[in-house]
Amino acid sequence: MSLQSLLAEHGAEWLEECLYLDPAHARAYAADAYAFDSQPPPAVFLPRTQTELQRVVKACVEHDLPMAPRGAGTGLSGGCVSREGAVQIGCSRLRRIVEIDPLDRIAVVEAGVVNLELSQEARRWGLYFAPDPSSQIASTVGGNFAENAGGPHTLKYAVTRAHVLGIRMIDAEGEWVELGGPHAPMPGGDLLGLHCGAEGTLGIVAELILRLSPRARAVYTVLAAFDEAEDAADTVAAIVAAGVVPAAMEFIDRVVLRAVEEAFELGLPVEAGAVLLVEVEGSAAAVAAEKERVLHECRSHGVRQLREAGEERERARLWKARKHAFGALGRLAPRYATQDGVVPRAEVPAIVRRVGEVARAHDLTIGIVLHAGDGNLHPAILYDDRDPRSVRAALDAGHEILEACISLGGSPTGEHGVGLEKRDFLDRLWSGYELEQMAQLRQVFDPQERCNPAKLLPSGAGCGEGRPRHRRGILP
Amino acid sequence: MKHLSSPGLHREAFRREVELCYEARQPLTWGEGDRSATGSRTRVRAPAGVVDHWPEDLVVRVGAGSTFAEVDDFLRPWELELGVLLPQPDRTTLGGAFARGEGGMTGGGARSLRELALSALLVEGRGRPLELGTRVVKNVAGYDLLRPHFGAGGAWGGLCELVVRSRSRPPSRMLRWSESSPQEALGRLQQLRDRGSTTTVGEWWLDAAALARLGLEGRGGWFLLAEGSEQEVGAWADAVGGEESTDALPILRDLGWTESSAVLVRVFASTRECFEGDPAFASGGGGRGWIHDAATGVNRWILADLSDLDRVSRRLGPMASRAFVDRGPIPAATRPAGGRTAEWKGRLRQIYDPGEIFPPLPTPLGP
Repeated sequence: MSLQSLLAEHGAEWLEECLYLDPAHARAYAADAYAFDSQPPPAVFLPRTQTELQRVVKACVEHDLPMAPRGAGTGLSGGCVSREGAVQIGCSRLRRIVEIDPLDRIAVVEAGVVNLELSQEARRWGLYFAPDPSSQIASTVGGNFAENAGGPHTLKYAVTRAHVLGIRMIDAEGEWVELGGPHAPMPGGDLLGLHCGAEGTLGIVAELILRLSPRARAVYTVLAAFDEAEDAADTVAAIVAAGVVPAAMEFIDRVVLRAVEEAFELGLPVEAGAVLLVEVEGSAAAVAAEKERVLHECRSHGVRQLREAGEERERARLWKARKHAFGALGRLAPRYATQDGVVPRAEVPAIVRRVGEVARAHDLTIGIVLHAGDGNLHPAILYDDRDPRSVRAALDAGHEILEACISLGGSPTGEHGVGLEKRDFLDRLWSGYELEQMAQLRQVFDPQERCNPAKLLPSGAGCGEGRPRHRRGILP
Repeated sequence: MKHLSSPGLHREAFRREVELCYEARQPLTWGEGDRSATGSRTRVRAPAGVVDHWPEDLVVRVGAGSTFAEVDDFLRPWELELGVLLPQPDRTTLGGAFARGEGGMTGGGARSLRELALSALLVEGRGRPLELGTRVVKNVAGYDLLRPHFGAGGAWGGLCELVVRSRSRPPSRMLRWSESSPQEALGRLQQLRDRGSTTTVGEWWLDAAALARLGLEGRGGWFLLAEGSEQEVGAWADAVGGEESTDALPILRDLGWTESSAVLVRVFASTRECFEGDPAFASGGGGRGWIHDAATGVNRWILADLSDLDRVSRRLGPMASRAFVDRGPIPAATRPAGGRTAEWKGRLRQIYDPGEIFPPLPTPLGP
């Protein structure tokens, strides 16, 4: 069975409207935002309706074709890149906001709805969708679910999983399955929570019931510049220890700061070693109290400059420094690779130091952006893809940083997923038995491994030997 | 509560108990409570006590047999707490609440126990330990092996330890209420929300029977809970109006749980589902009290006895498939749902419990 047999059997009009076989489409869908791997899919399906989506999946099942689901392709780990001849099934045309219910504070949306568009639509009721990955201007809620996406504001509001109440999905056999509903998860085993972050390996989500949150009445945003990156890193833990959980607390180092300033001329303090972008929100009284505590901790840690956002326009400018940081880095080198690791919050100063050591050891420039409150760092490793030694150094540096994250008690991925990139990194974190459990779990939902094959799990899952486990183990 | 002096020994003892049950094919049940009325089951209790604490990270690792009150007492010197509002915190253990799928009564989303739990040490059906997750707040390295166990009733393994987030203790807390009939409930909730905004952390509607237990009269009423600084809570109180209900929070929280004979049912249905279709539905159908949690879509129904339960099942209609008995006999008519999800859950059981020694998955009142 093959794509050819599928085409021979299903060459009807409905396929012509959503099937693309030309090289241009294959090239366009060959990669996501992960720089080191690409593979043109043999075919690209872009269904326009949920019914069409199911017909495509059923046809693939009948013809034993593996499928690689895709949202907007903004992922950073190659999670949607075709492998093992998987056809690409893009959900970006499923863009209906089916319903917003301001009383129950829920939205029913199709998987291809863009994250930011949902929040803009919900604004009229004073509501929004809390997860806000930096890609929110383009990334889809289906992709957010598949990756269990985070973003700057997860410090206070948690990751995507906390905001998804239900899904309507097509399983690996092409059948509709509903999990959850417009209420808290029910007893009986939380399969919805399991599917969130499964990177499309357990099925393809078509529709979601999302929790909407009330917009805060007051917001205070400040950019605090420090001479030394370590001082900024120390301030992160101090603010939380002072009893403040900011809505966001972002760390931007000197490399990134300068790139952003050169690109956007925002008047950023480019002489600083690092800046913290701190945002607190809530009622006016709460914000006033938390603002004072944030400023106190910044001053206690030797802040050199405080730039407060007095109005929405200024707040947007400050956030531009963060949300456009990676775009600006393109000016500094032919290529850059963004990593994604997590450490406990108290280890933020240690990981910042370690990234500096890695950069020096490999003679590379590495910029650091951190969701500092979560301990989730995104080092941007600058390299020249025309020089094989530079590529090798960038790969090695990335791996050393992730090793450091694990050895500090963290994880090699906090929000970008495993995808292709980190498959063979998991055995540093998990034991062979834990990986075997994951492999068995996949078999429960997709025994033929049709859904997004060769992703998320190591190629030899279940055989965790061979590499030392770096996590500080507590088990025999 | 103190640190566990030798957590390794406690872990090994817990693991070994499961292993022995597996080897003897002896059915077991977990710690607090026993939903399985038939057969003789060995009771296995998870350890209680703090295993590790990282106050600067707002993370604590505890034995799953620790109660919420014990953990909160431990955290108090750091001005921290778990912030999970559940009935009988001095008796309810973290492992038990997680296994029952109890997220807590203060809001959903980020404040649910489901989200506060970062990782766990679980022992599966052969007595093998599994570390599910890490202690960082974000981790997407592989499948989330912890989450399926939320609400699984210990059917897929026993929680030995849990790593959970803590938070700063709010300086002030206030409960206010205002009367509202079931017919007026939808409009009144929206009004209260428009005025209260983000300071509100709990939203419950109580029927007349539940109100009476709090010593209040009325056809029903909304209760709102706020947390924050005194100034913040004061401003909130001015905005939402109503009356302050001092000292009522523990009574509301424990309603029904202190009566040994009461049958307690949780029904999962959103505010609109409860009040729009049949407003009289929310009046409890003759039960001893009905509490609707608008933030989570969880309803708690207090019933006098099993005959009440039969009546309730009929009254619930299709919603019986979303009703679960938290305390009391499980009607004989209860049976697991079919379909694809049931098939998946059956396969998960084969992985996690090959000796079939664990309690069954919680099942709803109706199919």
